[in-house]
Amino acid sequence: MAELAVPKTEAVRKRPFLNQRRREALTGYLFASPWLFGFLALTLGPMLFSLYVSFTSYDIANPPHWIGLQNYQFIFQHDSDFTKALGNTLWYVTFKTPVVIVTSLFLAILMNQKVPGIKYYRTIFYMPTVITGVAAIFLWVWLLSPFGLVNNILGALHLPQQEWFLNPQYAKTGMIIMGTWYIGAPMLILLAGLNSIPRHLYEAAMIDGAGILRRFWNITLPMLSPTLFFIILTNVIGAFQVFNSAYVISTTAGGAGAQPGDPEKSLLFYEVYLYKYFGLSQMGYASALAWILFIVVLAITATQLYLSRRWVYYEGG
Amino acid sequence: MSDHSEYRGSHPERDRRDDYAFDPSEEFIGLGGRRVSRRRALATGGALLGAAAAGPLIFTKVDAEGLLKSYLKTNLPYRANTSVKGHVVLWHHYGSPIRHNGIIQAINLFKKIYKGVSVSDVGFGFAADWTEMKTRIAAGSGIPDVVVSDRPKLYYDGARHHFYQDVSDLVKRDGLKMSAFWPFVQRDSIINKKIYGLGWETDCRTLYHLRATFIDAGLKPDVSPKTWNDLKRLADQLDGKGSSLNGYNTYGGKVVTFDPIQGYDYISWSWTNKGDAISPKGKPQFNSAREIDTANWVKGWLDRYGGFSTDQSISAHSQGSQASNPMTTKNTIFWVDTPTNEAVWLFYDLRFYTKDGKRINPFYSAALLPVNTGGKPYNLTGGFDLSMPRKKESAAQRNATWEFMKFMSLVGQQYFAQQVLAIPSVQRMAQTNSILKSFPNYSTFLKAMPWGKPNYHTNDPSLESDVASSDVVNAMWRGDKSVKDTLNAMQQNALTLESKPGQ
Repeated sequence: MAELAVPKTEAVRKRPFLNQRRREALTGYLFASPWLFGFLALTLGPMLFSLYVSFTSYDIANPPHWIGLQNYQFIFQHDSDFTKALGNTLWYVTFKTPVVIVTSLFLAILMNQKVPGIKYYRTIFYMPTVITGVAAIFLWVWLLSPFGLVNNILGALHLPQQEWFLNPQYAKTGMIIMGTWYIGAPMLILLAGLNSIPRHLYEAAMIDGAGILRRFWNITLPMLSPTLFFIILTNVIGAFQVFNSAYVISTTAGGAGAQPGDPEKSLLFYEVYLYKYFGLSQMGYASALAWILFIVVLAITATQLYLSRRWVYYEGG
Repeated sequence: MSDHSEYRGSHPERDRRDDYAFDPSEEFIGLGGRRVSRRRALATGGALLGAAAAGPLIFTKVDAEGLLKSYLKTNLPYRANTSVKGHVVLWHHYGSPIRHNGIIQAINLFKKIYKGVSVSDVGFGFAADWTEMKTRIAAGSGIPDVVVSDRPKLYYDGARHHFYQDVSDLVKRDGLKMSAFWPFVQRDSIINKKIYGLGWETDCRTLYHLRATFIDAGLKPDVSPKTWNDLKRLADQLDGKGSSLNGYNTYGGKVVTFDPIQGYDYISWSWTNKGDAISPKGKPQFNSAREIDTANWVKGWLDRYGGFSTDQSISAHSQGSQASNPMTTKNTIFWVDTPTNEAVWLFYDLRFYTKDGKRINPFYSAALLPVNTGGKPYNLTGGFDLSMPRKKESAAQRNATWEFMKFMSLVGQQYFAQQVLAIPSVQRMAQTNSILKSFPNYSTFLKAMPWGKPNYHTNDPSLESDVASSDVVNAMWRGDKSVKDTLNAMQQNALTLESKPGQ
């Protein structure tokens, strides 16, 4: 049989490996590679190492020694301070978050009014956010001291004065009051969200006879829900990680000899408790505590994401 | 004109040769070749001789540094090798001007004697240097040569975790006697015959009171209680004085003579009652008979003045500057404190007056802690060592570091102590330093130092503070739970914490 001659023009062309789609993808990865490298080397890598360390006895200067689940067993079975710290933190998250949300939403609505000089008011309310760190904390220790400005005002109004950071019953309440110092940032975000609500919705509602409260409930809140959800999520995660203020207040407000978590462990928040074990060079135990916190926060965040389907309205569908 | 400063003062004849007023060619012939009369020549000669005699005092410079150097070289209280070379990095937590100046003074003195060694010091916030040091050891680089270490924690940081080097080979080589340090300093620095530091500053705790208060109360200003019974007798006399004392706050109509947990704690008081929450073998004994007895004694004092709420009020009313405490703010008559805080009072120049306006100076008196029958005045000490972090280094560098440590501990420490009224951890230095001895009550501190309590160590480095935490102990003082039940629960908790993994 004669061989069939295949014209060259019909020879099968090899597909190039880097087709356009792959080239675009590779370009994208190349642009993202600095971040990817940082994430792998500086975040995921240390996280995996700390997971390993949580099953060891490790003092940072000598090699880790494998002890299995002993750290976790002790935490759940014998460590009463773990329960105390977790309880304090959950209390703080539960009460601080709504206070911050409500206050910042109220302020955002106020700042959204068309009055002369409104931009100056916005600046004034945002400025405390700029004064961060230990300086702001010391300011609040002074304000809420037994002889501080807050008690002076309460006394002038014939209201009961408290010992705030010296009294275990009121120390966390003092922390929540202090938390309102930082509402500038959520206020701005909510303000941006308010400005993005289409005006025609309000106009239509007004034509239909809706009052202020009805418009707020049926238009403002639903349209603002994605922004509110973001702020709730970030505030909850931030509240779980409270450290600076609790540590500084507990070690300074009570004077010399005060321990982290004072008065009487009312300010023993989870990260303050965890930090203690870093100071004692018990990295394995501290890592186990850290991973428990991670799982708790992950669970709460996942729950919030699941529940958001019911109340968060995304305009795009 | 040459300087000749290296021998000025020791060879006046040679020095005068360069003085322009003493030119032999001008003595008889005179300036410009004019003849000078004999009388004038004699007068001039006499004046010149007088100037020559006074010359060394006027025109020469006493080489103070050289004198000090040669004195210290021959009088260094240890075998010194001043020919070492290297660079030493010292980490400390002394940020205040007083303390930092003290460190700098000692370092400068070291550099004058050890010409081949340069020194850099780095100041951190308190305890931040230890955390940073541990991370550097883990990283293997940037490790300092010497650190001011937490002496009570050497058992853990040195012996258990090996953050610090054992320097017993160097101590032995140079014939250094660790018995030069106070007994409790030795006990904290030497663990299982290994030496993890040389004593640096330390302190003691004594019982203070305001002398003006005693004068107003009709008592001798410097007579302090020696026993628990003495304390009670004094309180019986003073509690009701209230209005007759100058400016004291009263609680429930009484002046608070003594609040045992202001500035101190019941476990430390138990040492004056032959007790201790930790046995010498490192076993917890929070519910021993002596601990229960001491806790009941403390509760008795609190209840005398209206309970734990009075103690809290005292804390609230005593806040203020660094010099504020319940005694200086006139909320209690007695107060337990360290000599270092006394330096703060002197710095702030506190002034106290009797009711008739007479200023009393010194305004305070200090005494050994009062004891229960058969007890000894053991007191809470703390303090620091100089330690060498674990690192890879050459023998030459290690020697240079060691010379620096020896000098600072055995010589330089006193210059630091003079600035801040810390007590040197070298016994002889503390006993003979003339500047320290000039501080009021210093002789009392020297009496208190031998009673400094050494630390007994358990498996858990934070056991005592975890078990006797404020929430548990304060509930006991409030009466929420009985003393016995509280201490029994604390003992159970201590036994559980001892088994915590990873220690």
